[in-house]
Amino acid sequence: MTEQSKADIPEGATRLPDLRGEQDVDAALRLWHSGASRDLVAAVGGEEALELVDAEVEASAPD
Amino acid sequence: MLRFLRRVWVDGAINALAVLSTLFLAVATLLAGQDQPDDTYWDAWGAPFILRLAAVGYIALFTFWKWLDARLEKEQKKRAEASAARLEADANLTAACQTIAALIVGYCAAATPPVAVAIDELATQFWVPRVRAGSEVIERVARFVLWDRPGSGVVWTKGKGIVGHAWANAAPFSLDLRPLRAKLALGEAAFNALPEAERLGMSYADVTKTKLYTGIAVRPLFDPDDPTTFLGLFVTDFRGNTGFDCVETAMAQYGPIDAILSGCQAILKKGYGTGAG
Repeated sequence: MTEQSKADIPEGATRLPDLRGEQDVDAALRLWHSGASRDLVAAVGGEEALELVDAEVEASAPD
Repeated sequence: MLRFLRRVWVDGAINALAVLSTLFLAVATLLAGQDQPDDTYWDAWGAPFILRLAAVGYIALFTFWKWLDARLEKEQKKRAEASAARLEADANLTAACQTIAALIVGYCAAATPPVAVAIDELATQFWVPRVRAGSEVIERVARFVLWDRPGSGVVWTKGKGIVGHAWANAAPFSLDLRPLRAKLALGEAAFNALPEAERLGMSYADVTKTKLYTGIAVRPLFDPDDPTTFLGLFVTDFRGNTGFDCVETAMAQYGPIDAILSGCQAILKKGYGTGAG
């Protein structure tokens, strides 16, 4: 049990789980389209998301 | 241009005077050591002596001014860097708020049976602890909300309200606010006499000012390099009449939201650091 999950919650509240920290490529791409930076895209979706973003940028670049 | 030239001239004069003072001091010391031009020429309190004294004073002041100038410049640079990091963090956190709100709507629409959660029933936000007038408070730094949401005007301190409670306990939870709000019917005095924990440290006036929402789900965020260090909160407010169950399930279980919040921890640390400030 982590320090986080030992914490109290108010009466009547529902406990939510701690963050699992898993990466998600689709979520990273959605963030990119919302204006997030490459740093955040990489943190959320890893290398695979960055490669997809780069490919998208390259495809949309003028010839 | 004129200001630039004036600055260059003033700077040039100050520096030239420092060079002249140093040269004069060097020559004067040499001559005084050899009793030149005579053995009383440099004695106190003649003009040459006072000039030597002035040169020493000027060099001391010049050195101090240069040190101060370098220090101020360093501070300015540091502030500019922190401000740029904060702007970048805010842009990322706002993008995350927008994406998560859309993900919640999509998650509920795809549920079985589908739950209609409108995007303008949600307000997604990041909160971080700050120090204001010597007191620790928690403040919103980024948000996504599609309606003209008035501020409550309440200062949220550690333990006060939902965000204050989540901050004090670093606990992820969701809470349907309707039972608490129903207790307002007791009247101000009776409500304020309820145990502090039962009203989440809020007074009758505080709850009255924050009655826009049906429910709130809160996820604390931690330093990715040290999961015991609290950085801030991600908060989703819901103002619809039905559908809060789905919002809290999305906040608890939906992988893409989890991934975004995990990624935002590094952004929050870079932009706002690990302590109230």
